[in-house]
Amino acid sequence: MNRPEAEKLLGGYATGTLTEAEKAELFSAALDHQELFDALADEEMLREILADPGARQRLLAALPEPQRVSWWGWLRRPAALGLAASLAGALVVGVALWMYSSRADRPVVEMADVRTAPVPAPPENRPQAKAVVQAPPKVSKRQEAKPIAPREEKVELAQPDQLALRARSEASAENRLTDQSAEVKQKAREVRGVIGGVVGGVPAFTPAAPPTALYRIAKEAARAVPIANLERMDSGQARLTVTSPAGGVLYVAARKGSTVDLLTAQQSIAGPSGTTEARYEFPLAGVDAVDLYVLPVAISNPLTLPANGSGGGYYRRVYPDEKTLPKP
Amino acid sequence: MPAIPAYARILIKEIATDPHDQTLARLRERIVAFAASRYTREAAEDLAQEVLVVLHEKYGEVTRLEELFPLSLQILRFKIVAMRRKAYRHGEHTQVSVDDLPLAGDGPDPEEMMARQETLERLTAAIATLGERCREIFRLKLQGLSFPEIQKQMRAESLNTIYTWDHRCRKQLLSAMGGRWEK
Repeated sequence: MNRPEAEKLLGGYATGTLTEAEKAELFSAALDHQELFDALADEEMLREILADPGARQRLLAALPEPQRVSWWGWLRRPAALGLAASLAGALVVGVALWMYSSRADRPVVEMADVRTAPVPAPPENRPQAKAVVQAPPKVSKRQEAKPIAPREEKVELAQPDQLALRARSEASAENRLTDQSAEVKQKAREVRGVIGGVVGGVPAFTPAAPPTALYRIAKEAARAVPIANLERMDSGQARLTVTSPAGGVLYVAARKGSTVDLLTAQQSIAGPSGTTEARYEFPLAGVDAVDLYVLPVAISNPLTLPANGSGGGYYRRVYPDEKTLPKP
Repeated sequence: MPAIPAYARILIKEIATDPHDQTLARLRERIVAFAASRYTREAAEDLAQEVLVVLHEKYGEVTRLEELFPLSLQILRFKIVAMRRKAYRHGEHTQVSVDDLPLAGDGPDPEEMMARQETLERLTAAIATLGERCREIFRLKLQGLSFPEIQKQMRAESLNTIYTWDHRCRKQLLSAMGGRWEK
């Protein structure tokens, strides 16, 4: 063993903890190297001290054994607490974002569409009432990244040239809603009065409806709009279930890039209050968007709907996403 | 300084001719060089001869290097302490009246005990300045663990790692004590 390697054994000499092999190596090297011998001779004083059990005990008392930190003790350290708090905060934010995004992607028409319900009203008053309750649609970032045109929502109703047509179609649809009671119609008019409608150019008497009645009216009106539910099947197919209001003619079109396929319902069941539940199944691959149209009357060529629009009827576009679509 | 006794010179010659005792000859050479670096040459030779005489007369059966080497260092240290005490009594550094000199007793030398106690205190204070790893190594060594056992205890990759750690720690400890174990 050379001198540098033997020097590393010096620390074990004074404490008397060298093995026999280490001793032989160290002492042989010390006979060959004077510096090593001198170091060992100097170490003799320390060895003498450490040979005393009392001195050892005193030194050991000054060297307390490091305490093993338990997992609970580790967690209680400030750094660990900060890390845990950060993780918890990130988790809360992540869950909130996930819930927000899943809600934004849900292809179900919600209560916000109450404003589009075919509430009976004079055609000349409709635009004012609609203009008050219109709100800009929320578009998520993922939807903005889609190559397809942004959602059209009901904002299109605010266009002046379509207002008259829409008002007429809604009025005709209202006439076919035979299941709605007179009380509901009366409450609906009261709601319109609350919104601020003007009848005949004269400010109408607008009695405030009680909150419970307002909620009931809104619920009744929500039943009149189609409810679409898009699900992903295990076979790669998508299942679209649309509950359309009574009196409306439902058209469903799947958009694949620049082409449009008109979907035919595999199953159609008559629901309560004259509603119809139609079920469509189609391959999910390649489908960019699914357009729903509910028209007051049937048209001869539904394939012209994407080009000509809903013509005052109901229109909604849903974006099927394989990753986020729920399974049935 | 007393001259080297004749029997010691004969002993040296005998050692030099005996292959087994070549180790003793090399040991003497190291002792002389070590003592000469701290005392006079003559005193160094006297110390070496006295160590060899003790080894020859009292520990003739000790032949293994693992036992012979620490034994010779221990004898050397005793001889150095005795030489210092004798020099002090002879008044080589300070002239002291014979009446002021304490009577020699059977117990340990109080001066030596005091020096040892002082060294122990310095050592305790120096250890406290070491890092956590060094203190852990020193603690395990004081508990009697060998380097291979310390390697397992500290889960080091290799034994050489422990050697290196201990070597650095020893340097730090020596530096914290002013470069020498003894004051």
